[in-house]
Formats: sequence, structure tokens, C-alpha cells
Amino acid sequence: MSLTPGAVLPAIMIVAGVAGSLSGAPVVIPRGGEVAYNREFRIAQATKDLDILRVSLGSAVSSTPLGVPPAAHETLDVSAEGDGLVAKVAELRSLADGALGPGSRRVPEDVLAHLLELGSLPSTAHAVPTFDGAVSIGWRRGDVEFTAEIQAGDRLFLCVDNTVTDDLRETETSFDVRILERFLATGAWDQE
Amino acid sequence: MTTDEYLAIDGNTLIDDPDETLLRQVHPLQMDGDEPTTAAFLPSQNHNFLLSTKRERVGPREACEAHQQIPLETAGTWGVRVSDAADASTPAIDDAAHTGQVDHASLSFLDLPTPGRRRQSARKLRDAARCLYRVP
Repeated sequence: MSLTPGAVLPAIMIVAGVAGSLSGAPVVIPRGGEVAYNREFRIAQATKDLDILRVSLGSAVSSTPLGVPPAAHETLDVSAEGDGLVAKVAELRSLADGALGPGSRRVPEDVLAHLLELGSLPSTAHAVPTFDGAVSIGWRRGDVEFTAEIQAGDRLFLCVDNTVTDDLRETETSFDVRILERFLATGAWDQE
Repeated sequence: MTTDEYLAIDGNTLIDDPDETLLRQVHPLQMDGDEPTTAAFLPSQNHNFLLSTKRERVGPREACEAHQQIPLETAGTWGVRVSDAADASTPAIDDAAHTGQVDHASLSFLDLPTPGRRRQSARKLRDAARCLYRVP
């Protein structure tokens, strides 16, 4: 994925890409294709293990902890890579209230931010919007369907549905990316 | 509100022909490849846990085109038989008069007690649904 000059890159996208090491106001990509740097950002680790975004300072990609923010006039080249999660978020963000039907709600930014915290999705999983503005991540193993729904207000709904027996397990909890990652990996939310 | 309470609203009636196929539009972003996801058949609390459909007499293509003229996006029309809806514990209700929408019918999730049970019924509807018209 390439970022279009002139586009506004919300801070949450960068936060997810660098595991929470950046925060602050949106980054604006001006016409020259460079990113105007906002001194509110704190770059602790720029390029290590980036699944979504590669952040470089000037022409040299930094792979060492910077520790302190660069000066306000410096610029960052930003390009997006990864597994399509950024593109999925952009797609979800494009939905307005009512887009899925009368009364449907847009996906709020906190839900998109939590989705990006995952960094990537298993190839067998799909992420789709729900009518009430959540993002539903679903996948299937054998006869069992798994659902993780990231909901507004930092809520997480998890469900395991046996399509043969109709046995059902479900839980609702505060959003915690570790719980979600465990559920994606194992299909369980309890500590083993 | 329960299904019985919804049925008690003036003009609402249970659709009792098990062979009628109700028509559901599916948004492209609620597709997984060529197949609709469970989310496409799961109504929200904001919609009173009622899943909107159109009566069979409308026709799959016509229902799709009417949806596009609202304008709303759709990947196509999927059909769910009234008997399949009943098997999924989501009885079909003609609520055209109540909603003010001609040929409107709702599948009621009102009696399902938890989010998981509602999702399970939506999964059953998804599995039972057949694609009747796909947007070119």
C-alpha cells in the first residue's frame, strides 16, 4: 500500500505499527510525499518489527531506538507495508453512518485502533463491520466457528459456536489485545 | 420487547407460509470472498434486533435494484426460507404497515437471550441463505 500525498494519516495507524511507541496528533502527508513531523510524537523504536508501517528519518531508515523526538522541522518518509490490515481499516473508516442500512453506525476510531493493535490477521480470518459499528473477526476450524467482536467503548466480545452441536461459549470483557491475540491463536480466552 | 409483543403491534402478522423465500440484501463489506458473513444476518440493538428483508413477491433483482436506488450498496440478494428462519429461532413477521415500507418483513431475534445466541441464529440464516441475484 502506498500513502497518497496530501492524505491525513491518523496517529493510531502509526501507533499500531510501532507497537505504541508513537502517539499524538495526526500526521499530515503534504504534496511532496513527505510526512510533516509533529514534535508531539515520541519515536522510541522506529523500524523494528514493523508489520504495518515503515518509518524512516530522512533517507536513512533507522533501526535503532531514537529515544528523543527529532526537531519539528525534520520530515519522515512513511510507507505502508504489511498484510492488508491498514487497507482494511481504511475501508472500514470510509463507512458513514447508515452505509450498511438505515440505523447502522460507522466504525468509531477506538475500534479501528484496537483492530490495528493486532498488527495482522490470520489468513483464514475475515474482518467485517457490524450494523452497530463493531468489527467482527471470524474464522472457522472444522465444525467450529470463532468470532471476536471489537466493540465501541473498549469492549470485546468472544464467541465459539459448534455448528454441529450448537454448543456455544461466549464472553464479554474489556478490550485487551493480549486476550484477543490468544483467542486468535488458540480459540480460547481462558488462561491455559 | 419479545416477538409476541412485536406481533401485538397493529398490522404486524406472522408469515406462515414455510416455503416463502424472504429477500435479504448483503453489503459488499460484509462478504467474505463470494460468501456473506454472519454479520450480514445479524441485526443490531439499534435496529431492535429485527433483520430487514423483503417479501418474495418483490423479486430478487427488483429488491436489489430498489436497495441501490435508496441509495445503499449491495453485493446482491440472498434468499432465506421462512421455514429456515423458524429453524433458526427467528420467526418471520410481515411488518410492512408498521415500518411504512411496502413488502417489508422482519426476522425477529427478539427472543434470543444473549449476543452469542443471536450470532448463532445469524450463522444458521447465513448457512441456509441462497444467492438469488448478484450485482454484476
